[in-house]
Amino acid sequence: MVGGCPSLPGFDNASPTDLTKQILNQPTLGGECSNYPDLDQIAQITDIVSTMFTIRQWSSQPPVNGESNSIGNWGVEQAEAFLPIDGTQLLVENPVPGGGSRIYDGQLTDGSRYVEVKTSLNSKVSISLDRRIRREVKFDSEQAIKPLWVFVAKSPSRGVRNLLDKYEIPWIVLNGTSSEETK
Amino acid sequence: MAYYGVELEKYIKDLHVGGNSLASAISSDVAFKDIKKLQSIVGIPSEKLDFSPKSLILVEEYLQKYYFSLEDADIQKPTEEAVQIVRGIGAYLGKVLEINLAGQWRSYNDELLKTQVIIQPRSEQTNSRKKGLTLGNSALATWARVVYGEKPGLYKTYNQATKKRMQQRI
Repeated sequence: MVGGCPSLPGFDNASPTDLTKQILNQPTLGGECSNYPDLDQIAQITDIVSTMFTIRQWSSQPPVNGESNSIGNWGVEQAEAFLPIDGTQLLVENPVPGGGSRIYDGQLTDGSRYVEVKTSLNSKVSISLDRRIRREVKFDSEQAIKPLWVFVAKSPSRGVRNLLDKYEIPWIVLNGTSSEETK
Repeated sequence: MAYYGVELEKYIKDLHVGGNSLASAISSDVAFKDIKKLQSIVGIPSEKLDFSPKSLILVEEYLQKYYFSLEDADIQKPTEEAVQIVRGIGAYLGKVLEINLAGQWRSYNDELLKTQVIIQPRSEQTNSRKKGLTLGNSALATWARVVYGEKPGLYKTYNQATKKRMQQRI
């Protein structure tokens, strides 16, 4: 138990320090259960824009040599396991001319915000900016309520962070350790 | 100047905040009522709507015809009639998904724009996740495209939502 939080499988509950919870740009989320955010805490996270959670053990082993879709699905499973997220893919269309459409990986369980999950298990140190991410951020920047981006297993690169921060799109890193991950 | 679609979206949200039932969620039960109203406004004969996916193309055609029949003054600002059209489009699309793909309705905060239809993955699709679309949002975007003079894209929306795999996750 940490600060009255229920003990949750997968989290290192030894102490807040050992938990290696890192809050970027903000000393605290408030509340003592911030190692496992509920919807209220997610609401605060989306106000402060960026947060990192480190978990000790993923809910399932990452796919080994998996194709991008199975890795992506695994990432969504982790997001569902550790955050209040419903990982049902959702098609969302932009009501501006030529705005196109976007498929989100899910939404917060209260339906208040869409969720985009980015997962990487390759050897790169971060999830880097590419054309697809630029396109997705552009779409998201036009939404009245910005979606939450969840990075699983890797942090966003400085370029991605800057872009998300520029448009005030909240993001979370869900990081963990696994022998598979280092392969 | 704000785009019509964005203004209509804001208008619907304001209606919801004001407690106007026009902006409330659509459910399977009330969908037929909204479809009837759409037929009445746009002039779609009942016998033409068979709830097949292809019938969405017919709805598109009637929406365009109706829009072209409007006077300019009628389309300057979002109106309750426009919201009723959005409800009707969403209701019909939702019923097509329900009937053809066992789609399940759900909504959040009783909001029209947060009405969704979720499609279960087919049994042969292993390792596949549930998917769905935001009906209110798609209906709004469809009507906005009509107003912009673009293809309404309702049938395209249906196809996008029903692809075997919506997209490669990364």
